[in-house]
This record gives sequence, C-alpha cells and structure tokens, in this order.
Amino acid sequence: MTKNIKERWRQFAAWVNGADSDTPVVTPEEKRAARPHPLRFLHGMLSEKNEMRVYHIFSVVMCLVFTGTLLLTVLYLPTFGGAGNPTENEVMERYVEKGIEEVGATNLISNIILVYRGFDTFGESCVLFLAATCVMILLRKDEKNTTAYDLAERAEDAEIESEENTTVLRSVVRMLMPVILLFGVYVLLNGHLSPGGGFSGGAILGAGLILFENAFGEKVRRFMSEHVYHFIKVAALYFYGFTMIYVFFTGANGLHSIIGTGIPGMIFSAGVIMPINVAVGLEVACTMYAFYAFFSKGEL
Amino acid sequence: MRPFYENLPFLCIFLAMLAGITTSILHSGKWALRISLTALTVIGAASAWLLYATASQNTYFVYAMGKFPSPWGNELRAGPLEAGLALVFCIVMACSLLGGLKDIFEDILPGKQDLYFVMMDMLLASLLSMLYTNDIFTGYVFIEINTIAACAIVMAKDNNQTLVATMRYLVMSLLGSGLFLISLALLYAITGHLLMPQLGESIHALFVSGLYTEPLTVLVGLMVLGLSIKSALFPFHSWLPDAHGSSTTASSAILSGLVLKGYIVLLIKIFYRVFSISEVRSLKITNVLFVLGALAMIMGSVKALQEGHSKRMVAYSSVAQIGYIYLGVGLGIEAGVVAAVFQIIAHAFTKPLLFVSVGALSSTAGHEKKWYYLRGAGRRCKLAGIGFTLGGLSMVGIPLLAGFVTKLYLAQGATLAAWQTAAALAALAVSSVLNAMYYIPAIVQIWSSGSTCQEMGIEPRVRRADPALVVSVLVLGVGVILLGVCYRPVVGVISAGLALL
Repeated sequence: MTKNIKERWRQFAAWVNGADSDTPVVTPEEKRAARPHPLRFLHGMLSEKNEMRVYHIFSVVMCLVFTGTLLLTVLYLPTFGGAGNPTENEVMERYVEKGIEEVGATNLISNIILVYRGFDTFGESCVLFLAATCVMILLRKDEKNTTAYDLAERAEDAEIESEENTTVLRSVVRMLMPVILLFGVYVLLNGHLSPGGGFSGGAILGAGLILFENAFGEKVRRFMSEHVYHFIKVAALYFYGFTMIYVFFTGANGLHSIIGTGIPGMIFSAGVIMPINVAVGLEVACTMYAFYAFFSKGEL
Repeated sequence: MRPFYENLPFLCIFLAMLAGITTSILHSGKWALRISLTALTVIGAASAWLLYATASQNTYFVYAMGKFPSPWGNELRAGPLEAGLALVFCIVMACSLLGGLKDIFEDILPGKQDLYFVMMDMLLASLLSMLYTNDIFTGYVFIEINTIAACAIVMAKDNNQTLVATMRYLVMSLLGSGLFLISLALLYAITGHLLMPQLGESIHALFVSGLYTEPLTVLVGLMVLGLSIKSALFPFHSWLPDAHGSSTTASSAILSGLVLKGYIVLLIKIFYRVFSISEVRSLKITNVLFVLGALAMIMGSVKALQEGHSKRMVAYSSVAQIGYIYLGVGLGIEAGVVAAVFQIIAHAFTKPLLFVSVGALSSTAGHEKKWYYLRGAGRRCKLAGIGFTLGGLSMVGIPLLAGFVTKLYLAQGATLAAWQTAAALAALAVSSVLNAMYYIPAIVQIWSSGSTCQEMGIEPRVRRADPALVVSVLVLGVGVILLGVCYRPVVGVISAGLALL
C-alpha cells in the first residue's frame, strides 16, 4: 500500500516537473482503453461509419424537434394582420398617421428605418462595412494565401477575358449598362418617395458594376482602384455618421435642428433621408463590388 | 438641454465606430494602434466620468437617439452598472492590446494589421452598445457586429488552425444570433414593442392575464439558448477552446475577457428590464441556467485538466468561469446576480492577465504552447510568471484575490436560494479543487529550474519585458488584487446599478 502511494507520488511529481522520466507516457486514449467501461461494448458496435450515422440521425432529429416547436408556437401567435393584434398599438399608429407630417417622406418605411430607428440602420450599414473588411482580411492577396498556381490561373482568366472572346457580352452590356445604372440611381434618389432606398438602390448599382467589370475588366479596374474604393466607402460612412450625430444630438437635447421636412412628395424633401440614402447606396454598391473583386481576384 | 454627461454613452459609441472607419484607410498598423488606444483612453475617461455622475447621485437616465422617445425611437440607457462595466471593458481591452502587442505585429501580416484594429474598434462599439441599449433590436444589430468582429480577430492570424476555428465559431455564433432573432420576432408579435420599458409593461400584463403563455415560454427559451451558445455555456462550448486557444494573444484575451461577457450582460439586462427576476424564476429558466452553470464549472475544469496545451487549458478554464456567472444568474435572486456581475468583472481582469502572461511565457520558448516545453519559462520572463501566478491563484480562489470574492458572494447568495443551496456549494467546492489541480502544477512548472524546449531544437531565451507588457500586466494584476481586497465599493456600485435596472 505504502509503496503504491509512494509510486503514485513519484509519478505525480514527475508529471508536475513535466518530465517523461521513466514512466511510460499514457495517452488519454490508452487510458480510456485500459479502463473497464460499461459502455465499451456499445463503442465496439459503433464503428466510425456507424458513429457518423448516429450523428446524422441525431442532427436530423434535433432539426425536426426545433422545426416542430417553432411551427407549434406559430399556432399560438395572434393571426397575421388580424384586427386588435398586439402589434396594432400606438407605435404603429404614430408611424403611419404622423410619419409624413413629422419626418416628411411618403415612403413610410424610410421614415422608420432612417429617422425613427436611425441608430439601428447606422449599425446595419456598419455591419456591411465590417463584412467587407473581413473579406479583405481573409482574401486580400498576400504571401500566405496566394501560390504561383493561383497567379497562373488568374493570368489565364485575364487571357479569356480579353477583347475577342467577349464580343457578345460586351455588346449586351453596352446596351444594358445605362438602363441598369439609371434604374439604380432612380431607386436611390426616390427612396423617400417610393419603395426603394439606399440598400436596394446600392445593390442594383453594385450588380451593374460587377456586370460591367465582367465585360470591360480593365476599364472598371482603372476607375475602381483600391484608393477610390476606400475614399467612397469612408466618405459615405463619415457623412452618414456625422449626420446621425447631429440628428441625435439636437434631437435628444431638444436643440433647434436645421433639418426640416420640406413638402412631402417633392424630390428635395424629408430632410436627411435622401442624402443618407445616397451615402448608404454608394457604400452598398462599393461593398458588393469589393466582395466580387476579392473573391475573384483577391484585389480591387 | 440635458446635462452634458448624459450625451456621453452616445458619443462614446460613435467615437469607437468613427475610429474604426478612420482606421480602415490608414494602411499602417502602428497608426491604427495609436488611434485605437486613444479612442480607448477617451472612452474610458468618459465612462469614468459617467460612473461618477450616475453613482454619486444614484440615478440613471434614458437618452433618446433623435427627437422621438420610446416607444417610437431608439434609446440608450445608462446607470452606474452600465458605466462601470464600460469602464472595465475599456481598461481590459487596452491592457489586452498592449500585452499582446508584440504577438499582433508578429502573427498578422503587415498589410492586414490596420484591419485588425478596425475590428477592435468596432468590437468596442458593439460592446458599448450592448451595455447601453434600451432597445432590444439595437441589441440584436450590435450582436451581429460583435459576431463578425469577433470571428475576424480569430481569423486574423491566418493559419490552418485559426481558419478551422473561425469556421466553427462562425457557425455556432450565427446559430445563436438566429435563435435570438427568432425569439425577438415572437416577442414583437405578442407585445408589439421593441423598447425595453414598454416591453416590460406588456410582458407584465401578459403574465397577469395569462395570454400567450406558450409563445412566451418558447421565446424565453430561444433567447436564453441563443445567448448561451454565444457565451459558451457548457454543452454549447465546443467552439471556444479552438477559437480562444489558437488565435493571437490579444484576441484570446479580449474574446475570453470581454466578448463572452457582452452577451451575458445583455441577458441580465433583458431579465431585469423586459421581465423581472420573479417572472423569470416562474418560467423556470433560471433552474436550467443553474444546472448548466454548475455542470460547466465542473466539466470545464475536467476538460482543462486533460489539456496539455497552455492556451487551450486557459480557454477551457473560461468555460468553467462562465459557469460561475450562469450559476449566479441561475440562483434566481438578487444576491446571485450581484455575484454574477462581480464575476463578470473579476474574470474580465483575470483571464486577460492569464492569456497575456501565457503569450509572453511561450515567447521565451520559441512560441511553443505545450506546458511540457514551458518549464522554467517564469524564470526567463519574471513579470509574465508573476502575472500567471497571480491569475492562476485568483482562479483557484485564494483570499485577497478577485476569484475568492466571487466564490464568497456566490456562496452567500446560495444560502438564500430556494432549493439550490447544497448543489451550489458542492459545485463551488468541487470546482475550486479542480481549478487548483491544473493551475498549481502549471505554476510549479513555469517556476521550476531548467528548461525542456531544447528537445524541440528551440533555444530558451530570456525575454526582457517591454513597457507595453509591463503596463498591461501591472494594470491587470493590480486590478485582480484590488478587486480581491477592496471589493465592497465595487459590490456597492453593482447592487445600486442592479436596483436601478
């Protein structure tokens, strides 16, 4: 008995000292194998393949349980759009009835997301900025993620993109491009008057830019260099951020604000909504284009 | 016109965001660092002012973002609790950055260092927003920002391990966000509000009338599940050791010390302001949190005990420490939550101290992270050795250090609990012994004489402590000791802040 304790103490001391000493190293797996285990025969039955199968079955069951619970919960919720629902309260009333008068945009959604709940939307545009920055951290060309093979592939891509191979694409894009850009600008500038706004308009502009890049790679790249990208992105976010600071500061402190509502329905109305829509739109367009550029080439 | 200090929370959040946006065009890691540290200093000073202003008058205020008050517009709310936590977060983040400075500039490619600090600034903005928000949907938006930034600071090191760890972290974290979002949708459907004060009134009315009990139960479950996945409560912790163990030193310190806590603070705010602690208790969700917290305290330590990799061991110890926080919340009484918030602060100081020290210790052995090769590392970098010893002893719960006070308050709280007393005390005792079983050998190992890293062909080298490391270890170490010695004022502020919530 004493010898056993002494032996164990010696082993413990050796382990504390971090030395292997003369005791054989026992890995956790070996230890587990050496221990009598009531579930051993179960482990024996579970080969690796079976284990994966159990795992798959378990995940499917989990999904079904979650889906079932959520569907059941929906049964207990108030009917969608029903009269007298909890959502039909003073909040919605003021948004719908006073929105045009207080903020000035005939698109009520713009009023809510850019003015009433402007802080959330500023947060959302920061999400986009962060997402683009993340993609840059991950995919920007550097010695770790680019091999000679990648470079060769990209050179080959550039070859395929060259003039004679893209005649059809180029003619179509030449026709479509003005329409797409015009539509994007329209959605941006009319965000406070009709459905649309910064996020949707920016997405259209961004998609247009990506299409243009596919057809006339060189020209777009010459214009959308990394400097231009950073300039537009930061200028848009600065403008948005400082506008929001002004709006929040004057609003919260009850100071007089120079931002009016204008005449609802006019293009220059609704105070800060249109400029903010433009800023958000530029940022979204840049972000979309940057996603495409980083994923395809690792640089702008 | 309101007093100027009431503008501080909003200005702090925007300062952090604008710092992040500015940093993205600098193309220089050094300047990015300077901007981040300046922002942290200014925000820390502002938080201290706010803490003084609110704690001295024992008051709180709500701040409408724009001219539309609740329930129409976004709002912030600040009291002693929020301001105090913001101050702690700023100090800890600055110290973690300073302590891991050398590793940041070694681990991350020069072209991407500026982007790393963008993530830090945005992380700070999101943590502040989650602290100050009075609007549950704003909370969700900043959870998203927090998720992206947290994944990016793991990924920044850019080797195979961190990429795999980031993927796991991202998937688990997004699952948590998704569940939280679904619960918000349900909450909005049955109350029609998103601002916390009005939500509180509606929920209270629902409790009285007994309407919509089923969706209410499901949504509380989803909300707690979502936030506990993101804060690595025990069965959902599998992503944590990889993410915290493989990233660069500063990232590990900030992820363990701050990011996990942001979600828990939000959960506590929701428990207090949307529900009330008695309503939460009647939904039995605190019992679930209690059991999981107790399991986490033990299982986290057991896992740490099996770990030979120093950073992964410290990361597993985070799982156990998060368990303490949930154990406190799970007691379902005021005293338990006070202990939980104290643990948030104590762990926010202790864990970054451990990570920073381990980072410095392993740099004396060629960045080898296995305990086996760290023999004698404390003798080669004495400051980091002292930091690790202090942090480890605090985790074990030696009196006069922060960890002891947590255990004291948890035990005191447990004696007042309904049925949890014996279980809580047992979990505390077992967990303390387990903590000692892995921290004490580790401390003995780093102070032993000789070295073992030659076996790997690495020459042990003495690391002179650079000023940044000295400041970092000193501030965090003094924080751990101060929290352990003069804990009464801290607990006073926490109780006052919770009473005002």
